[in-house]
Amino acid sequence: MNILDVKDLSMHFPIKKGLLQRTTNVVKAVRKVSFTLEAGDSYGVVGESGSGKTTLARAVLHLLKPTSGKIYFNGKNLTSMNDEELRQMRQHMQMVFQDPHSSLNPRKTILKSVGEPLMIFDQLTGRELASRVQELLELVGLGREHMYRFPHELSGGQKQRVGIARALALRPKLLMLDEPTSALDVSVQALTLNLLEELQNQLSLTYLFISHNLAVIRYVCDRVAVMYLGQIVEEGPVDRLFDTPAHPYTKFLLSAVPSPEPQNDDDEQILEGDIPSPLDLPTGCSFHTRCPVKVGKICETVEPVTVNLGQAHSAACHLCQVNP
Amino acid sequence: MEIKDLALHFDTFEGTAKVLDGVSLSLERGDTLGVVGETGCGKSITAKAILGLLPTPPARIVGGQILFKGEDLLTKNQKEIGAVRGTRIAMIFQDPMTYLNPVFSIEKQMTDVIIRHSKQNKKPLNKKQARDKAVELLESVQIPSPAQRIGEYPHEFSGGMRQRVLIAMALSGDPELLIADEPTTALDVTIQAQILRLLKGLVNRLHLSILLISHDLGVVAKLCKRVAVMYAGNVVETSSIENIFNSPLHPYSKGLLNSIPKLKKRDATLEGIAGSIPSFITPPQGCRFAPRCTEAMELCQKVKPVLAQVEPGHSFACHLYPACRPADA
Repeated sequence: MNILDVKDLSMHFPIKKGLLQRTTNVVKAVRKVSFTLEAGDSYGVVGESGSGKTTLARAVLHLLKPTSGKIYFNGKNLTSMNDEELRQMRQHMQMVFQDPHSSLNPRKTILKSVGEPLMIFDQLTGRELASRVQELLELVGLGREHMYRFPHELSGGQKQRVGIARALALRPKLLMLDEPTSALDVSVQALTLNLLEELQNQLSLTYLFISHNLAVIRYVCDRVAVMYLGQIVEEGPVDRLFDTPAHPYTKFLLSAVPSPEPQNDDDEQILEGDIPSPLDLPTGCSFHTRCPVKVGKICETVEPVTVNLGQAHSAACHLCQVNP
Repeated sequence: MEIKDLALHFDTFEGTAKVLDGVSLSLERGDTLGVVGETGCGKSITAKAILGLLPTPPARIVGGQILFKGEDLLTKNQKEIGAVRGTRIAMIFQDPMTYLNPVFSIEKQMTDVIIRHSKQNKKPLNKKQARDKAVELLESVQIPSPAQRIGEYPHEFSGGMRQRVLIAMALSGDPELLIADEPTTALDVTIQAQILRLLKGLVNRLHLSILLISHDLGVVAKLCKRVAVMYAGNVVETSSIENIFNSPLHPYSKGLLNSIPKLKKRDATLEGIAGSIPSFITPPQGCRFAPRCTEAMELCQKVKPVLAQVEPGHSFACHLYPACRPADA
């Protein structure tokens, strides 16, 4: 069964100017994104800065109200819910943030930070609360001794574990992980990724994993979506997408990652130019301004549709339509 | 350039932080050396110490030498080191936005630097000549239509373009050595690839030596021939790029390599390194990596290993290799 079903989700931010606050322009951060998550999936979303991956996660959680589109969580439509219903739903879908230093309140002990959702939703207090928090901390590899400490007494990796423990407090089914290891050193990142994998098996969690790091996505996820300028340009099972990418952007993204091994790169291909401004989106295929293999006029004028390439692999490129 | 046993302390309220504890590096002309390590290993501090960019106090150099073509940079006064900065050793930084002044145009910022360097090199240029040189430099770092764009302000440039401007400014004094401190960390991967290719081209064309500081072994592998791995203020291993990836010797280098997820195939399990870096105020008495090391012995807790050569161009500091034991222990 699908735990999350996102249909044609768009998130636009109007830019208002002047005394009358007239809308002068619109940033289209997420444009008609659709995807589904089955229970137990690890779904990766990868893209460069400004591709809309974080906005996507926030819109799914309704931390931002989507401009259009529908989101079904366990079959229930989130877009038609009122604030109180949404608040209740959020128990089942939690978020882990990128920067563990700023997502924990420096004036609260770990007990208070992790325990807050338990106090609000489960009305736990005193000893009950402490023992549940201890359980959660042990789950993420911390102990009782960390409970009464403040965030500044913990290392970056430990803080991120606290962030994960807090997200797990209400036994959610879906976790949104927004760049959970980007602020960590690689040796700590490896341990954190392993922990996330263990927790997923133990608690049968579903992950929506957002990252700009392709190698991390490959390590953690089963399926992956590549975003460019607010759209999913390619989607598929991780191994298939990484080994035989179909969309030119995915190909260049993969070849741009410097691999930690001695290399001969005389024939390497590098993408030219910068990402266009989301205020002034290119017509047709949004990648055509940088695409080295564009076929001609069609790329500049017609927006490509998503083509199914078989084995749950799909891409939105005119080239895939010509020779699927 | 050669750095010998550089030791540097920071005086803090909680005590003296022994941030660099005998760092030795050497760099031949035309060499490309990458310094890798995780947060707090002292790689940026080493770079800043070379150019005398650390404020004293709190920083205090307590030992060692930094020899640049035989001259010890540490014995120079502010004026003398000012003459070295930019014209012989130049530096580019991580975040291009914070190092460009937002209220001046690129032209103003570049020509100021060029005119200053030209005076130091005893070939003073006027404003017009400086502008021509700036345009030329921008062209060499592949900024499109430089003659028009030079009048723009930093906010009109994208992140990749700003980094190109900083590289152009660094090159304006014709330096022999370029120190690049995490030059691509703030950039997206496709832009990072462009900047790395540009730097590689410049190294070959201008016969520059590069000291590249990065936490990303992939970036180092792309640009450098040799690599030095640092941990908690020590150089633990130096070798050629091939050796560090194919046969790392120090347990920390091994752990680091086993922590990096690979793009080409999915790893079975990443190992990671348990624990965190030690306090610099009360560092471990022996090897600074010993508390996290899976192969630590009793000796490691007490005696600090020294760098010893295993084969030409490959040395490391670990008691697993008997030659690393200091003579007096």
